[in-house]
Amino acid sequence: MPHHDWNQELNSPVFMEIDSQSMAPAETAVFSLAIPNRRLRISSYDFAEPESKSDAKPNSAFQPSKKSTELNASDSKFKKRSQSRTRIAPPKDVVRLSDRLFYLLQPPLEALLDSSTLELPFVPFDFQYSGVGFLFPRHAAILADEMGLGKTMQAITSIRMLLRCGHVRNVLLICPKPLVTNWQREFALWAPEVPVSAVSGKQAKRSWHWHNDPTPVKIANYEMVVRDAHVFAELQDEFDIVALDEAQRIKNKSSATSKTIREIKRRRSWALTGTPIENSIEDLVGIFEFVSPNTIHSEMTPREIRNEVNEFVLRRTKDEVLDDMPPKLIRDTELNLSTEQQITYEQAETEGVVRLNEMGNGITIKHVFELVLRLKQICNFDPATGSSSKLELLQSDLEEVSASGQKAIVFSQWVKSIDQIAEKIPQYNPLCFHGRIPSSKRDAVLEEFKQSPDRHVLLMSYGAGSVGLNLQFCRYVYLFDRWWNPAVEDQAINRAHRIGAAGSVTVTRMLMSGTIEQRIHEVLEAKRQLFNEILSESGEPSSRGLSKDDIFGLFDLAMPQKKIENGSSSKAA
Amino acid sequence: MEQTASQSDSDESSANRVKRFGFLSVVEIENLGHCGGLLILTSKGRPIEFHCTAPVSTNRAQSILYGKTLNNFLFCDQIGVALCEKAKVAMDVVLATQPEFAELSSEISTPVAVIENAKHPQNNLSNTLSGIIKIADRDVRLFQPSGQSDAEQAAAKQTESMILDFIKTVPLTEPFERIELAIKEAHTVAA
Repeated sequence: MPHHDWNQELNSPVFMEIDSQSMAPAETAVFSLAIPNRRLRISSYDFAEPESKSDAKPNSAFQPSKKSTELNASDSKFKKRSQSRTRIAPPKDVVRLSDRLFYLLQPPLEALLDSSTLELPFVPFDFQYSGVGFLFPRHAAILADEMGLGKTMQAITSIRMLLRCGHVRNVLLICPKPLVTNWQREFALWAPEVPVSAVSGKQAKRSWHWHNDPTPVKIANYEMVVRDAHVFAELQDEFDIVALDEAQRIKNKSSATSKTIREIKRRRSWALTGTPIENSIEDLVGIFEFVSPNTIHSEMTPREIRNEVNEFVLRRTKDEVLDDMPPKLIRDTELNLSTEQQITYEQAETEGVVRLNEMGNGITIKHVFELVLRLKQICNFDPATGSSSKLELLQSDLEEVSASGQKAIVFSQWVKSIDQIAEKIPQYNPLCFHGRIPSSKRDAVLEEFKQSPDRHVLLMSYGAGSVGLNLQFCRYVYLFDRWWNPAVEDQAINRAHRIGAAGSVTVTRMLMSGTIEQRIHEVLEAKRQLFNEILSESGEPSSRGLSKDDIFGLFDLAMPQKKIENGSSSKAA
Repeated sequence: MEQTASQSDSDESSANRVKRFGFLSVVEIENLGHCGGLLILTSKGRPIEFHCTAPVSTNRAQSILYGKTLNNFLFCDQIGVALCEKAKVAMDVVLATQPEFAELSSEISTPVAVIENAKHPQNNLSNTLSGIIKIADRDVRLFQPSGQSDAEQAAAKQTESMILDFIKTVPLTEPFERIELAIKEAHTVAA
């Protein structure tokens, strides 16, 4: 190839075919997903600041034992708190959500009562925490725990917490007269910082208490409240709490005591009683007239009553809540009348029944009752000779009680019997506690019985000694004669058989074979089985004491045709 | 970062005033969604404030887009921040048992402490961890708002000390039970 051809070829233009493709993106379809950052609806609840700045200071009592920031799982305090948490559940009648949340958002009672500001002298039982959790939020409540479970402590602790959080400022506690000093002592123990005053003295002093005494907790006895009934209409301020101890005192709603107490202006009505149903449903209806009027009435069926009272009543028995209570041994001792007693008894019974039969329709419960009392007294002591089978047994038993360094309580219905017993057992240095012992001396009697190693026996009447007293250092209880109502007997027994009991408690119920005592015992035992029915899951409520039918039945007497004339009540107990 | 009550009264000497503990929790309510609750307590465990949200439910889009982090978004960004903003008093620490709240420390100025079972630690917790307190079988992981300066280290120590003081009165996880009870109560009453 010639040289020029080669150059020509190189310089000739190149033919290119260009195919252009547009790279512009097609329009993208966009789907927007809404991720709304909505404004949340928030409900807020404020609670009053309950602590002062000083509360922030750590309490030395709760300083950890070691500096490490690691708490051992076996730390006893940590474990103890973890075990149970009792919360304050708002009652049904608290309807505002903020009020309900106030209760729900409180710390567990175990934590509240373990804090430096609300220290307790003893660690309460779990059921006692529950009792406080029950009372604290309630305006209407009946704490009906069996005797000895600490109703006093639960009430005091609830009052203390309510005072501390500012929910209440003035509390009136009404109790039987012999228990006023007991309540003062218990307040000093369980709420030492709470000032307490007992309303007492002459009218002018009492008037000052009612009108001017700024003490947040006032204690008054039932009789005094009735005597000062006129005052309550004059008082400007209502009480934040009116709490009744042994509230069965107002079971009869037509009584002056009940009427007076119901007139007291109050925001919270609490009743404490181990026997809300002493004789019949009427008792409970009577107490409810104070606690929550018109909630129940005697025409309601037992089921209806149970449903209505459920929200207001808390009742626990020792069997339910105390696994470690020492045993209570009941010993029914049937004795034969001594020869002298037998002769006197038969004569009195025969003559008495003849006389009653002769009365025909003129017979009243009072007449029958007089005969019962007469025969019961003979069962204790022969009136002519002082002979007594019961005393012989008691003397023999007391020898053993005394020798073992133990103490015994002997209950009788009659002061006269108590005096007779005391006279016959001087070697045991008996102390007496009954209605004729002035109130001012009663505490000293109990203290001496508790402290003195030479005092082995306390002779008590059911009336003076059956309620409220703590005698759990006694291991022996004797029922020298029987009360009309098992509930009262139970209360008497539970002076010794209660929390803190030193050991098993032996209860000896003396019973004269083939006498009126045995007949009464049989009637009452049948009724004892029915106790608590209104508060239990099933069963029909029933009277627990002796009804008029029961009393007439003791002598196989026919009921009179006309209406029974009875001074005060158709119930004997 | 959100403005919280702790900033608004930052002039207050924290050493002198009563310590306040925020307990934050989210409770799932069947068929309705999640409810948040913030309970502010004193050092003695007593309530000062309680705030709770109406039920919050997530939608399908949120589920897809947030994926595994959906609960972090819901608990922290949505519920936690909103509740902390409502607090009227300054909190010294916010405690939670749900690990999602660890990230709250980047949203509020209050230290956050997440309580977890020591046997099952959450390894994916935020890296702003400033300390662990061991309490029985629990680990309390502390998350300070930011940084690791000396002042912040001291603050972490103080928070730790506060928490240890608190449990002398109230078990650490107990307040969460109260929140759950209160949310259920509020829901029941509302229903």
